[in-house]
Amino acid sequence: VIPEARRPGLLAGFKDLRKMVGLLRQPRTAANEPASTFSIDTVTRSLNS
Amino acid sequence: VKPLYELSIAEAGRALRDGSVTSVALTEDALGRIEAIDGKLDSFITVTADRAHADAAAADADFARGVDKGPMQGIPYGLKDIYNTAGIRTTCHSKLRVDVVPDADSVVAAKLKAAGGVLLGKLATHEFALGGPSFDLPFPPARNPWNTDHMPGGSSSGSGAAVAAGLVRMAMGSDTGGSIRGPAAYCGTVGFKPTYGLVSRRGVFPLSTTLDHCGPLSWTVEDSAITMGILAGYDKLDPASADVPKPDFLSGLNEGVRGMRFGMPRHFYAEAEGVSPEVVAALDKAAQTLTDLGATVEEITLPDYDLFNACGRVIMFTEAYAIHEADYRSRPLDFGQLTFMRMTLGAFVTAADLQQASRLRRELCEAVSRKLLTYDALITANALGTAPAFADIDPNNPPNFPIQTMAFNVTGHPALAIPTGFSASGLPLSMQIVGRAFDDAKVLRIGAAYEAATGLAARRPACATV
Repeated sequence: VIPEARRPGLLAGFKDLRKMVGLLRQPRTAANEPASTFSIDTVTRSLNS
Repeated sequence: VKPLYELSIAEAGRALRDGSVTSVALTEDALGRIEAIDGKLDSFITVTADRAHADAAAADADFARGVDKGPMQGIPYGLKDIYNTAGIRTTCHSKLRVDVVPDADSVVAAKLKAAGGVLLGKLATHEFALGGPSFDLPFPPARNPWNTDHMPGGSSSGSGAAVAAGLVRMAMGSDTGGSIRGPAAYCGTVGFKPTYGLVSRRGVFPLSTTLDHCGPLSWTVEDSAITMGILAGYDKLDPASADVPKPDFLSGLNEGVRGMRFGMPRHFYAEAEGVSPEVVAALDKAAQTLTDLGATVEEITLPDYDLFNACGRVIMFTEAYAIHEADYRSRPLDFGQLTFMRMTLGAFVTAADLQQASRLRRELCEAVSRKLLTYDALITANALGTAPAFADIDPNNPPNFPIQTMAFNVTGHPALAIPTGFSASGLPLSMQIVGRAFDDAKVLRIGAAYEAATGLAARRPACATV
Protein backbone atom coordinates (compact mmCIF):
# COMPACT_ATOMS: atom_id res chain seq x y z
CA VAL A 1 0.00 0.00 0.00
CA ILE A 2 1.43 3.34 -1.02
CA PRO A 3 1.41 5.82 1.89
CA GLU A 4 -1.10 8.63 1.39
CA ALA A 5 1.54 11.39 1.51
CA ARG A 6 3.45 9.83 -1.38
CA ARG A 7 0.52 9.47 -3.76
CA PRO A 8 0.48 13.00 -5.28
CA GLY A 9 4.20 12.87 -6.01
CA LEU A 10 3.92 9.40 -7.51
CA LEU A 11 1.04 10.51 -9.70
CA ALA A 12 3.07 13.48 -10.93
CA GLY A 13 6.00 11.18 -11.65
CA PHE A 14 3.75 8.75 -13.48
CA LYS A 15 2.41 11.55 -15.70
CA ASP A 16 5.99 12.60 -16.53
CA LEU A 17 6.83 9.00 -17.33
CA ARG A 18 3.87 8.64 -19.72
CA LYS A 19 5.03 11.79 -21.55
CA MET A 20 8.51 10.32 -21.83
CA VAL A 21 7.44 6.93 -23.16
CA GLY A 22 5.36 8.76 -25.77
CA LEU A 23 8.55 10.35 -27.07
CA LEU A 24 10.19 6.94 -27.50
CA ARG A 25 7.83 5.91 -30.30
CA GLN A 26 9.65 6.91 -33.48
CA PRO A 27 9.02 5.60 -37.00
CA ARG A 28 11.07 2.44 -37.46
CA THR A 29 10.99 -0.77 -39.43
CA ALA A 30 10.46 -4.12 -37.76
CA ALA A 31 14.06 -4.96 -38.65
CA ASN A 32 15.46 -2.16 -36.51
CA GLU A 33 17.28 -3.99 -33.72
CA PRO A 34 17.56 -2.47 -30.26
CA ALA A 35 20.86 -1.31 -28.85
CA SER A 36 20.80 -4.02 -26.24
CA THR A 37 21.17 -6.93 -28.66
CA PHE A 38 23.93 -8.80 -26.94
CA SER A 39 27.19 -10.10 -28.25
CA ILE A 40 28.03 -13.70 -27.38
CA ASP A 41 31.66 -12.59 -27.05
CA THR A 42 31.00 -10.24 -24.15
CA VAL A 43 28.83 -12.60 -22.15
CA THR A 44 31.19 -15.57 -22.45
CA ARG A 45 34.57 -13.92 -22.32
CA SER A 46 35.01 -14.45 -18.59
CA LEU A 47 35.09 -18.19 -19.36
CA ASN A 48 38.16 -17.77 -21.56
CA SER A 49 41.35 -17.72 -19.56
CA VAL B 1 53.83 29.16 -0.84
CA LYS B 2 50.56 27.34 -1.32
CA PRO B 3 48.90 25.63 1.64
CA LEU B 4 49.13 21.85 1.31
CA TYR B 5 45.46 21.39 0.42
CA GLU B 6 45.88 23.61 -2.65
CA LEU B 7 48.59 21.40 -4.13
CA SER B 8 47.18 19.43 -7.04
CA ILE B 9 47.98 15.75 -7.39
CA ALA B 10 50.69 16.68 -9.88
CA GLU B 11 52.16 19.35 -7.58
CA ALA B 12 51.96 17.16 -4.48
CA GLY B 13 53.59 14.36 -6.45
CA ARG B 14 56.55 16.56 -7.30
CA ALA B 15 56.84 17.65 -3.65
CA LEU B 16 56.74 14.03 -2.50
CA ARG B 17 59.52 13.14 -4.90
CA ASP B 18 61.80 16.09 -4.05
CA GLY B 19 61.34 15.39 -0.35
CA SER B 20 59.70 18.72 0.52
CA VAL B 21 56.59 16.98 1.81
CA THR B 22 55.65 13.51 3.01
CA SER B 23 52.52 11.50 2.43
CA VAL B 24 52.01 11.44 6.19
CA ALA B 25 52.01 15.25 6.22
CA LEU B 26 49.52 15.43 3.33
CA THR B 27 47.33 12.90 5.10
CA GLU B 28 47.44 14.60 8.51
CA ASP B 29 46.60 17.89 6.83
CA ALA B 30 43.62 16.33 5.04
CA LEU B 31 42.33 14.57 8.17
CA GLY B 32 42.65 17.83 10.09
CA ARG B 33 40.68 19.68 7.44
CA ILE B 34 37.96 17.02 7.48
CA GLU B 35 37.75 17.40 11.25
CA ALA B 36 37.58 21.20 11.01
CA ILE B 37 35.34 21.67 7.97
CA ASP B 38 33.25 18.60 7.27
CA GLY B 39 30.88 19.16 10.17
CA LYS B 40 29.32 21.86 7.98
CA LEU B 41 29.39 19.83 4.78
CA ASP B 42 28.68 16.20 5.76
CA SER B 43 30.60 15.05 2.70
CA PHE B 44 32.08 11.98 4.45
CA ILE B 45 30.03 9.04 5.68
CA THR B 46 33.07 7.13 6.95
CA VAL B 47 36.52 8.59 7.60
CA THR B 48 39.10 5.81 7.36
CA ALA B 49 41.80 7.49 9.45
CA ASP B 50 43.58 4.27 10.46
CA ARG B 51 43.69 3.05 6.88
CA ALA B 52 44.88 6.48 5.72
CA HIS B 53 47.72 6.53 8.27
CA ALA B 54 48.80 3.04 7.17
CA ASP B 55 48.60 3.89 3.47
CA ALA B 56 50.59 7.09 3.98
CA ALA B 57 53.28 5.40 6.03
CA ALA B 58 53.60 2.69 3.38
CA ALA B 59 53.88 5.31 0.62
CA ASP B 60 56.60 7.20 2.48
CA ALA B 61 58.46 3.95 3.13
CA ASP B 62 58.26 3.13 -0.57
CA PHE B 63 59.64 6.55 -1.51
CA ALA B 64 62.48 6.05 0.98
CA ARG B 65 63.30 2.67 -0.64
CA GLY B 66 63.19 4.14 -4.14
CA VAL B 67 59.92 2.37 -5.02
CA ASP B 68 57.70 4.58 -7.17
CA LYS B 69 54.28 3.21 -8.13
CA GLY B 70 53.30 6.28 -10.11
CA PRO B 71 51.52 9.59 -9.69
CA MET B 72 48.96 8.51 -7.06
CA GLN B 73 51.58 7.20 -4.64
CA GLY B 74 51.13 8.97 -1.33
CA ILE B 75 48.12 11.03 -2.52
CA PRO B 76 44.98 11.10 -0.33
CA TYR B 77 41.65 10.50 -2.11
CA GLY B 78 38.04 9.55 -1.40
CA LEU B 79 35.52 7.06 -2.77
CA LYS B 80 31.80 7.50 -3.21
CA ASP B 81 30.17 5.09 -0.80
CA ILE B 82 28.93 2.76 -3.51
CA TYR B 83 32.47 1.53 -4.29
CA ASN B 84 33.12 -1.73 -2.45
CA THR B 85 36.08 -1.54 -0.08
CA ALA B 86 37.35 -4.71 1.59
CA GLY B 87 36.83 -4.52 5.33
CA ILE B 88 35.30 -1.04 5.18
CA ARG B 89 31.53 -0.60 5.21
CA THR B 90 29.91 0.39 1.93
CA THR B 91 26.49 1.77 2.75
CA CYS B 92 25.18 3.27 -0.49
CA HIS B 93 23.90 5.93 1.96
CA SER B 94 21.01 3.58 2.72
CA LYS B 95 19.36 1.99 5.73
CA LEU B 96 19.30 -1.23 3.68
CA ARG B 97 23.11 -1.50 3.66
CA VAL B 98 24.15 0.44 6.71
CA ASP B 99 26.21 -2.47 8.11
CA VAL B 100 27.44 -4.06 4.87
CA VAL B 101 31.19 -4.67 4.92
CA PRO B 102 32.42 -6.11 1.61
CA ASP B 103 35.02 -8.87 1.47
CA ALA B 104 36.69 -7.52 -1.65
CA ASP B 105 37.60 -4.19 -3.20
CA SER B 106 35.92 -2.87 -6.31
CA VAL B 107 38.29 -2.82 -9.28
CA VAL B 108 38.69 0.95 -8.92
CA ALA B 109 39.48 0.74 -5.20
CA ALA B 110 41.98 -2.05 -5.86
CA LYS B 111 43.73 -0.06 -8.61
CA LEU B 112 44.03 3.06 -6.47
CA LYS B 113 45.36 0.96 -3.59
CA ALA B 114 47.89 -0.76 -5.84
CA ALA B 115 48.96 2.65 -7.15
CA GLY B 116 49.90 3.72 -3.63
CA GLY B 117 47.00 6.09 -2.98
CA VAL B 118 45.84 6.98 0.52
CA LEU B 119 42.17 6.27 1.20
CA LEU B 120 40.72 9.00 3.43
CA GLY B 121 37.19 7.60 3.50
CA LYS B 122 33.83 6.95 1.93
CA LEU B 123 31.74 9.82 0.66
CA ALA B 124 28.07 10.73 0.79
CA THR B 125 25.82 9.89 -2.15
CA HIS B 126 22.17 10.04 -2.98
CA GLU B 127 20.73 6.75 -1.75
CA PHE B 128 21.81 3.99 -4.16
CA ALA B 129 22.96 6.84 -6.46
CA LEU B 130 19.29 7.56 -7.15
CA GLY B 131 17.25 9.20 -4.42
CA GLY B 132 18.22 12.50 -2.84
CA PRO B 133 19.11 14.80 -1.36
CA SER B 134 17.19 13.32 1.55
CA PHE B 135 16.89 13.95 5.28
CA ASP B 136 15.24 10.58 6.05
CA LEU B 137 18.34 8.42 5.59
CA PRO B 138 20.86 7.13 8.16
CA PHE B 139 23.32 9.89 7.19
CA PRO B 140 22.66 13.56 6.41
CA PRO B 141 22.96 14.83 2.84
CA ALA B 142 26.18 16.55 1.79
CA ARG B 143 26.04 20.33 1.44
CA ASN B 144 27.46 22.73 -1.10
CA PRO B 145 30.72 24.37 0.06
CA TRP B 146 29.90 27.57 -1.84
CA ASN B 147 26.70 28.00 0.17
CA THR B 148 25.66 25.33 2.62
CA ASP B 149 21.97 26.20 2.23
CA HIS B 150 22.28 24.76 -1.28
CA MET B 151 22.63 21.21 -2.48
CA PRO B 152 25.91 20.01 -3.99
CA GLY B 153 24.18 18.04 -6.73
CA GLY B 154 24.05 14.32 -6.97
CA SER B 155 24.36 11.61 -6.81
CA SER B 156 28.12 11.93 -6.16
CA SER B 157 27.27 14.67 -3.69
CA GLY B 158 29.99 14.04 -1.13
CA SER B 159 32.61 13.71 -3.86
CA GLY B 160 31.76 17.14 -5.28
CA ALA B 161 31.59 18.82 -1.89
CA ALA B 162 34.84 17.26 -0.62
CA VAL B 163 36.83 18.22 -3.72
CA ALA B 164 35.49 21.79 -3.78
CA ALA B 165 36.25 22.28 -0.08
CA GLY B 166 39.80 21.03 -0.55
CA LEU B 167 39.34 17.97 1.67
CA VAL B 168 40.54 15.71 -1.13
CA ARG B 169 42.22 16.44 -4.46
CA MET B 170 40.29 13.68 -6.18
CA ALA B 171 37.19 11.71 -5.31
CA MET B 172 35.62 8.94 -7.31
CA GLY B 173 32.04 9.37 -8.45
CA SER B 174 29.71 7.39 -10.64
CA ASP B 175 27.55 8.75 -13.44
CA THR B 176 24.33 7.16 -14.70
CA GLY B 177 22.45 10.30 -15.72
CA GLY B 178 24.92 12.98 -14.69
CA SER B 179 25.97 11.99 -11.19
CA ILE B 180 29.58 13.05 -11.72
CA ARG B 181 28.96 16.07 -13.92
CA GLY B 182 26.04 17.44 -11.88
CA PRO B 183 27.96 17.72 -8.59
CA ALA B 184 30.94 19.03 -10.54
CA ALA B 185 28.69 21.76 -11.97
CA TYR B 186 27.09 22.74 -8.69
CA CYS B 187 30.34 22.57 -6.69
CA GLY B 188 32.61 24.19 -9.30
CA THR B 189 34.93 21.22 -9.80
CA VAL B 190 36.12 19.21 -12.77
CA GLY B 191 34.20 15.97 -13.29
CA PHE B 192 34.93 13.38 -15.96
CA LYS B 193 32.60 10.70 -17.27
CA PRO B 194 34.82 8.53 -19.47
CA THR B 195 33.68 6.63 -22.53
CA TYR B 196 31.34 3.78 -21.58
CA GLY B 197 33.49 0.70 -21.03
CA LEU B 198 36.79 2.46 -20.38
CA VAL B 199 36.73 2.08 -16.56
CA SER B 200 35.51 -1.13 -14.91
CA ARG B 201 32.35 -0.87 -12.80
CA ARG B 202 32.91 -4.22 -11.13
CA GLY B 203 32.36 -3.97 -7.38
CA VAL B 204 30.45 -0.68 -7.64
CA PHE B 205 26.80 -0.94 -6.63
CA PRO B 206 24.85 -0.62 -9.88
CA LEU B 207 22.05 1.83 -10.58
CA SER B 208 21.51 1.03 -14.25
CA THR B 209 24.07 -1.18 -15.93
CA THR B 210 23.27 0.16 -19.39
CA LEU B 211 24.16 3.69 -18.32
CA ASP B 212 26.56 3.39 -15.35
CA HIS B 213 30.04 4.90 -15.65
CA CYS B 214 32.83 5.37 -13.09
CA GLY B 215 35.00 8.48 -13.13
CA PRO B 216 36.81 11.10 -11.07
CA LEU B 217 35.95 14.54 -9.71
CA SER B 218 38.99 16.73 -9.14
CA TRP B 219 40.00 20.35 -8.78
CA THR B 220 42.08 20.38 -11.99
CA VAL B 221 41.78 18.66 -15.36
CA GLU B 222 45.31 17.33 -15.00
CA ASP B 223 44.32 15.51 -11.81
CA SER B 224 41.46 13.80 -13.59
CA ALA B 225 43.86 12.84 -16.39
CA ILE B 226 46.28 11.38 -13.84
CA THR B 227 43.46 9.38 -12.25
CA MET B 228 42.27 8.09 -15.62
CA GLY B 229 45.79 6.88 -16.35
CA ILE B 230 45.47 4.57 -13.35
CA LEU B 231 41.87 3.48 -13.81
CA ALA B 232 41.39 2.96 -17.54
CA GLY B 233 41.76 -0.60 -18.71
CA TYR B 234 39.97 -3.71 -19.87
CA ASP B 235 38.23 -5.93 -17.32
CA LYS B 236 36.85 -9.10 -18.83
CA LEU B 237 34.62 -9.61 -15.79
CA ASP B 238 32.71 -6.36 -16.46
CA PRO B 239 30.56 -7.25 -19.48
CA ALA B 240 30.53 -3.61 -20.60
CA SER B 241 34.30 -3.21 -20.41
CA ALA B 242 35.88 -2.40 -23.75
CA ASP B 243 38.97 -4.25 -24.93
CA VAL B 244 40.69 -1.21 -26.40
CA PRO B 245 44.23 0.17 -26.11
CA LYS B 246 44.71 2.24 -22.97
CA PRO B 247 44.90 5.93 -23.92
CA ASP B 248 47.81 8.14 -22.90
CA PHE B 249 45.98 10.87 -21.00
CA LEU B 250 48.96 13.04 -20.10
CA SER B 251 51.47 13.33 -22.91
CA GLY B 252 49.34 15.62 -25.10
CA LEU B 253 47.40 17.27 -22.30
CA ASN B 254 48.97 20.70 -22.74
CA GLU B 255 49.06 20.84 -26.53
CA GLY B 256 46.10 23.21 -26.80
CA VAL B 257 43.16 23.42 -29.17
CA ARG B 258 44.56 25.37 -32.12
CA GLY B 259 43.02 24.08 -35.34
CA MET B 260 40.28 22.07 -33.65
CA ARG B 261 36.60 22.33 -34.66
CA PHE B 262 33.87 22.34 -32.03
CA GLY B 263 30.14 21.89 -32.54
CA MET B 264 27.77 23.70 -30.20
CA PRO B 265 24.16 22.40 -30.01
CA ARG B 266 22.82 25.71 -28.72
CA HIS B 267 19.23 24.59 -29.26
CA PHE B 268 19.75 21.95 -26.54
CA TYR B 269 19.94 24.51 -23.78
CA ALA B 270 19.22 28.04 -25.02
CA GLU B 271 15.53 27.25 -25.53
CA ALA B 272 15.17 24.80 -22.65
CA GLU B 273 12.67 25.32 -19.86
CA GLY B 274 14.31 26.75 -16.75
CA VAL B 275 17.62 27.72 -18.33
CA SER B 276 19.43 30.59 -16.64
CA PRO B 277 20.61 33.45 -18.86
CA GLU B 278 23.85 33.33 -16.88
CA VAL B 279 24.46 29.75 -18.10
CA VAL B 280 23.87 30.74 -21.73
CA ALA B 281 26.09 33.82 -21.42
CA ALA B 282 28.87 31.76 -19.82
CA LEU B 283 28.72 29.24 -22.68
CA ASP B 284 28.90 32.00 -25.27
CA LYS B 285 31.92 33.39 -23.44
CA ALA B 286 33.49 29.91 -23.34
CA ALA B 287 33.00 29.58 -27.10
CA GLN B 288 34.79 32.91 -27.53
CA THR B 289 37.63 31.75 -25.28
CA LEU B 290 38.10 28.60 -27.35
CA THR B 291 38.02 30.70 -30.52
CA ASP B 292 40.68 32.99 -29.06
CA LEU B 293 42.78 29.88 -28.42
CA GLY B 294 42.70 29.06 -32.13
CA ALA B 295 39.72 26.73 -32.45
CA THR B 296 36.61 27.07 -34.57
CA VAL B 297 33.20 26.91 -32.90
CA GLU B 298 30.09 26.32 -35.03
CA GLU B 299 26.46 25.98 -34.03
CA ILE B 300 25.04 22.52 -34.83
CA THR B 301 21.74 20.68 -34.51
CA LEU B 302 21.22 17.41 -32.68
CA PRO B 303 18.01 15.52 -31.91
CA ASP B 304 15.95 17.27 -29.22
CA TYR B 305 17.35 16.92 -25.74
CA ASP B 306 13.98 15.66 -24.51
CA LEU B 307 14.51 12.48 -26.57
CA PHE B 308 17.83 11.75 -24.88
CA ASN B 309 16.29 12.45 -21.49
CA ALA B 310 13.25 10.25 -22.06
CA CYS B 311 15.37 7.40 -23.40
CA GLY B 312 17.82 7.53 -20.51
CA ARG B 313 15.30 7.93 -17.73
CA VAL B 314 13.09 5.09 -18.92
CA ILE B 315 16.11 2.77 -19.06
CA MET B 316 17.45 4.01 -15.71
CA PHE B 317 14.18 3.70 -13.78
CA THR B 318 13.51 0.26 -15.22
CA GLU B 319 16.94 -1.15 -14.43
CA ALA B 320 16.99 0.44 -10.96
CA TYR B 321 13.64 -1.14 -10.17
CA ALA B 322 14.83 -4.52 -11.44
CA ILE B 323 17.94 -4.37 -9.26
CA HIS B 324 15.99 -3.45 -6.11
CA GLU B 325 12.74 -5.30 -6.82
CA ALA B 326 13.05 -7.84 -4.01
CA ASP B 327 13.72 -5.20 -1.33
CA TYR B 328 11.12 -2.90 -2.86
CA ARG B 329 8.48 -5.59 -2.43
CA SER B 330 9.55 -6.84 1.00
CA ARG B 331 10.63 -3.65 2.82
CA PRO B 332 9.66 -0.65 0.66
CA LEU B 333 9.56 1.85 3.50
CA ASP B 334 13.20 1.19 4.36
CA PHE B 335 14.12 3.13 1.25
CA GLY B 336 14.22 6.89 1.61
CA GLN B 337 11.13 8.62 0.31
CA LEU B 338 12.78 10.11 -2.80
CA THR B 339 14.38 6.77 -3.72
CA PHE B 340 11.07 5.00 -3.25
CA MET B 341 9.24 7.45 -5.47
CA ARG B 342 11.83 7.41 -8.26
CA MET B 343 12.16 3.64 -8.20
CA THR B 344 8.42 3.15 -8.30
CA LEU B 345 8.39 4.70 -11.77
CA GLY B 346 10.40 1.71 -12.99
CA ALA B 347 7.54 -0.57 -12.03
CA PHE B 348 5.26 1.31 -14.42
CA VAL B 349 7.45 0.86 -17.53
CA THR B 350 6.17 -1.74 -19.98
CA ALA B 351 8.35 -4.15 -21.93
CA ALA B 352 7.41 -2.30 -25.11
CA ASP B 353 8.46 1.02 -23.57
CA LEU B 354 11.86 -0.41 -22.74
CA GLN B 355 12.29 -1.89 -26.20
CA GLN B 356 11.45 1.46 -27.78
CA ALA B 357 13.96 3.18 -25.48
CA SER B 358 16.61 0.72 -26.53
CA ARG B 359 15.95 1.33 -30.22
CA LEU B 360 15.96 5.10 -29.71
CA ARG B 361 19.25 4.79 -27.88
CA ARG B 362 20.92 3.35 -30.93
CA GLU B 363 19.55 6.15 -33.13
CA LEU B 364 20.70 8.87 -30.73
CA CYS B 365 24.13 7.31 -30.39
CA GLU B 366 24.51 7.26 -34.15
CA ALA B 367 23.34 10.88 -34.45
CA VAL B 368 25.93 12.15 -31.98
CA SER B 369 28.69 9.96 -33.42
CA ARG B 370 27.90 11.24 -36.91
CA LYS B 371 28.36 14.85 -35.77
CA LEU B 372 31.65 13.90 -34.17
CA LEU B 373 32.96 12.72 -37.54
CA THR B 374 33.07 16.41 -38.46
CA TYR B 375 33.93 17.96 -35.10
CA ASP B 376 36.70 17.26 -32.61
CA ALA B 377 34.25 17.75 -29.74
CA LEU B 378 30.90 19.23 -28.75
CA ILE B 379 30.57 22.13 -26.32
CA THR B 380 27.27 22.26 -24.50
CA ALA B 381 25.52 23.08 -21.24
CA ASN B 382 25.76 21.04 -18.07
CA ALA B 383 23.37 22.20 -15.33
CA LEU B 384 20.99 24.83 -16.70
CA GLY B 385 21.21 26.87 -13.52
CA THR B 386 23.06 27.11 -10.25
CA ALA B 387 22.74 24.70 -7.32
CA PRO B 388 19.16 24.72 -5.96
CA ALA B 389 18.53 25.40 -2.29
CA PHE B 390 17.51 22.55 0.00
CA ALA B 391 14.42 24.59 0.80
CA ASP B 392 13.27 24.10 -2.82
CA ILE B 393 12.92 20.32 -2.39
CA ASP B 394 9.51 18.82 -1.73
CA PRO B 395 10.07 15.31 -0.33
CA ASN B 396 6.61 14.30 -1.53
CA ASN B 397 7.34 15.31 -5.10
CA PRO B 398 10.82 14.40 -6.32
CA PRO B 399 12.36 17.35 -8.13
CA ASN B 400 13.74 17.22 -11.66
CA PHE B 401 16.31 19.98 -11.58
CA PRO B 402 17.25 21.16 -15.07
CA ILE B 403 20.48 19.53 -16.16
CA GLN B 404 21.52 18.16 -19.55
CA THR B 405 23.91 15.37 -18.79
CA MET B 406 21.80 12.29 -19.56
CA ALA B 407 22.42 12.61 -23.31
CA PHE B 408 25.94 11.23 -23.03
CA ASN B 409 25.04 8.41 -20.68
CA VAL B 410 22.63 7.31 -23.40
CA THR B 411 25.29 7.55 -26.10
CA GLY B 412 28.33 6.59 -23.99
CA HIS B 413 30.55 9.39 -25.32
CA PRO B 414 33.18 10.84 -22.96
CA ALA B 415 32.01 14.07 -21.30
CA LEU B 416 33.96 16.49 -19.13
CA ALA B 417 32.30 18.95 -16.75
CA ILE B 418 34.38 22.08 -16.31
CA PRO B 419 33.64 25.39 -14.56
CA THR B 420 32.76 28.38 -16.75
CA GLY B 421 32.44 31.02 -14.03
CA PHE B 422 30.08 32.14 -11.30
CA SER B 423 26.57 33.49 -11.07
CA ALA B 424 25.79 36.86 -9.53
CA SER B 425 24.88 34.92 -6.38
CA GLY B 426 28.40 33.46 -6.20
CA LEU B 427 27.51 29.89 -7.19
CA PRO B 428 29.48 28.00 -9.87
CA LEU B 429 28.49 27.59 -13.52
CA SER B 430 29.70 24.75 -15.75
CA MET B 431 29.76 23.31 -19.26
CA GLN B 432 30.36 19.94 -20.88
CA ILE B 433 33.01 19.04 -23.44
CA VAL B 434 31.97 15.86 -25.27
CA GLY B 435 34.29 13.85 -27.47
CA ARG B 436 34.39 10.85 -29.77
CA ALA B 437 34.17 7.43 -28.20
CA PHE B 438 37.55 6.46 -26.69
CA ASP B 439 39.00 9.86 -27.59
CA ASP B 440 38.94 10.71 -23.88
CA ALA B 441 42.47 12.11 -23.95
CA LYS B 442 41.44 14.81 -26.41
CA VAL B 443 38.46 15.80 -24.24
CA LEU B 444 40.81 16.28 -21.30
CA ARG B 445 43.27 18.19 -23.51
CA ILE B 446 40.52 20.62 -24.55
CA GLY B 447 39.50 21.01 -20.92
CA ALA B 448 43.07 21.70 -19.86
CA ALA B 449 43.46 24.42 -22.49
CA TYR B 450 40.20 26.07 -21.46
CA GLU B 451 41.02 25.79 -17.75
CA ALA B 452 44.41 27.42 -18.24
CA ALA B 453 42.88 30.25 -20.26
CA THR B 454 40.22 31.08 -17.69
CA GLY B 455 42.18 30.73 -14.45
CA LEU B 456 38.96 29.78 -12.66
CA ALA B 457 40.68 27.10 -10.55
CA ALA B 458 42.24 29.88 -8.46
CA ARG B 459 38.92 30.66 -6.75
CA ARG B 460 37.93 28.44 -3.80
CA PRO B 461 34.85 28.55 -1.58
CA ALA B 462 35.29 30.55 1.61
CA CYS B 463 34.90 27.49 3.84
CA ALA B 464 37.98 25.90 2.22
CA THR B 465 40.26 28.61 3.61
CA VAL B 466 39.27 28.04 7.26
